[in-house]
Amino acid sequence: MSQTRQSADDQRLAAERELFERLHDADASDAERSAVRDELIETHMPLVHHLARRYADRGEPIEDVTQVATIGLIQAIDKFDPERGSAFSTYAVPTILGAIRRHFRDATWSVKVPRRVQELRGKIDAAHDALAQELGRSPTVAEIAARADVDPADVLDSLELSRARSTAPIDATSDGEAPLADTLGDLDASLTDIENAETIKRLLATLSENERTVVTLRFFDGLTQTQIAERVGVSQMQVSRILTRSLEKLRAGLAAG
Amino acid sequence: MAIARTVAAAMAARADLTLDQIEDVRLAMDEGLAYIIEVVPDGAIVTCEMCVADGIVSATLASTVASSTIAEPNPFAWTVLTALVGDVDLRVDDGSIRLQWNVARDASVQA
Repeated sequence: MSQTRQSADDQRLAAERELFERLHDADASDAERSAVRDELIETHMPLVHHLARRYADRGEPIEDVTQVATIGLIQAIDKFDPERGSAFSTYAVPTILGAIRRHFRDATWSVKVPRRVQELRGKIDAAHDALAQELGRSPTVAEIAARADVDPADVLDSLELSRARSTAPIDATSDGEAPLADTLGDLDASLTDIENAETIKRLLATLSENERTVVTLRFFDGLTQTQIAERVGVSQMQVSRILTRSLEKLRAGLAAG
Repeated sequence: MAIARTVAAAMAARADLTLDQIEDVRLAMDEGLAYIIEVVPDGAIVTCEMCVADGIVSATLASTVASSTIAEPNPFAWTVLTALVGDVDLRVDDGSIRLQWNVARDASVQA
């Protein structure tokens, strides 16, 4: 069976070589060259789809991955030199994969990761980019670890993590399992109320008696400034000033925790 | 398959392959296993052997097949596999299937 594959490969390679010769034919018109380029792109689109599908489960829309992969293919077609004797696919696959991998490296995380992990990733990314530039090739895990002064295991972990950033809807179900939303508890409203009440009580204690009375009447008993003025025996303007001052104090107290 | 991919990547990292090569190894494992799992009968055991020696990571995926005439690999899968890794060799005989490939450490890496 490897023989049939061999002859099919040879035929395909010959057709491919001819297309690239026409693409680089100095006598051809721009329109001809453009048509050949289109044909090359179209014949290699299944390869693009095949590669994009390999990255389908990594949290980026497959359409986006296909798009950057297609741009990678076009770059490969434009830069490929048939004179060098190797098959186009040997050149195209790494170029397309490079485009896909760059896309994933640049994509932001859609899940919140711990700060330590984020910082680690920042360091590792910086070391990776600097080394890639200096070496003219992709660096190894050991090289990155040495440059970023981190443990090689952390570099590996970070690589694994950058693959695991996909999110799933909270109400999605799989294999008859209960959706995540159903397995999580709700925030306990009464607990929150207690917490708030405790905070407010503590903050109110920092006000003067006069201020506390005005705030309580305004926000807990719902009286208007005029009603409070009558009740306390001061002018409405004074009530307004006391409220402003009290709220400033409360806000400052809240900010100070 | 996820385990095979991750183990393959970890071994490649330990062999001082570059990050791009590690990704290549992971993808080659993916392509190779996807093909083998498709052509072997249900319930067949697929073994993945990986070996690191002298800066070369080699993989052997093997299983049993019902007959010697099995489906050819998808041409794109084959293109990807041969572009990613070296010395790709597929053998089908006597009811067994074996797919081998290897990746060599970059000459400029000091291990």
